[in-house]
Amino acid sequence: MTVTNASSRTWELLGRGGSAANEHAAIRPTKYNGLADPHGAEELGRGLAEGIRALAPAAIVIWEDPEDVALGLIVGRELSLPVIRAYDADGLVGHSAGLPAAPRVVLVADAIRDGRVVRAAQALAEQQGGALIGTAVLIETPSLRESGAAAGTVIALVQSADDADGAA
Amino acid sequence: MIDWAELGMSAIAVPDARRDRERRLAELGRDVVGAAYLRGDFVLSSGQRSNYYFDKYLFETKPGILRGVAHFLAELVPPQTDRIAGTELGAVALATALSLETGLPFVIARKGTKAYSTSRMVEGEIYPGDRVVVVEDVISTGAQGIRAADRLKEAGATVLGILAVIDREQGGPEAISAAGYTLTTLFSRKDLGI
Repeated sequence: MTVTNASSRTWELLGRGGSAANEHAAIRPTKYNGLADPHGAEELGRGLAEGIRALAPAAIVIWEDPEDVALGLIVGRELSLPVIRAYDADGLVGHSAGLPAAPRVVLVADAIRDGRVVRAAQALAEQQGGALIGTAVLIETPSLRESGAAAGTVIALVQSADDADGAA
Repeated sequence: MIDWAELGMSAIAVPDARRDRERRLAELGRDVVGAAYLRGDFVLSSGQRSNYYFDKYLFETKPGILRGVAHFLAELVPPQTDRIAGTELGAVALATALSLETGLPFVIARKGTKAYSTSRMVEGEIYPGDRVVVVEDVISTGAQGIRAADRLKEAGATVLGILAVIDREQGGPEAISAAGYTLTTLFSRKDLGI
């Protein structure tokens, strides 16, 4: 597996959350779990928030997973933005309350493993008259790269040649 | 739908039982549409926008329709099937009804991912070598059916095919075929006149 752009500190934090092994510079087939390492999640979340800040979104969107809720909450707090949880409601995309009108949103996840998540976030924002202006991830995967323009501006701490297994 | 003229048969030559079956299936289709077809601006979990949506819960929660759907789906279950499988939550009622109709046991395939590997991804009894039919409600891109079938294969089962009530004709059959599975549906969007 090929990875780039990873500082040793980033690898250490990803490893503490269970999604990467610093010493081998390889992404494990598991989801990053910031709940297992709140201090590390805080640091990684702040890193994502700094990357997102220039996009000036109106809201952060996360997809389904509690682990991404934790990451999104840190980003939302840093940028003083609402965090909207979107989810698969048995065929339809549902979302939690608080999605602004005509929202410019950024999707936050540990990694995108299925391009439909990006398309769903984009369609949700567009349905409300807004747009998905960016996607911020800890690990950039092929599924995200293949999403192309739909993902908006991509902010990633590390890149992977493979889709790490797991949710979202 | 069978084209009797193409088969060189007139409608009069169609056996009464078969004609009655076609009539009852068409009636069931109208009932499904009447109960579950909604117009609006919907965002599908595939990421597609649509101006219509089949709310499966609106037909699955009506016993008369559910019984009829299970009756016709049962005709499509291969005789060598050991077990039915339904994906949570939408297909559980279908799997239950089909299980009652056929007498076959069923399992529930969870939608969650391997990230939650400590929990069972298939609920109920399943054994390596079991021949399983996956039942689905509405097929759009086919992604959910494929995930369920993959999960069952990982559990050691042989997936005989995927049965669905409605094909929205949005690439689902092609994707399912490309994934190595067969799909049989009771109704296509076209069948339902939508």
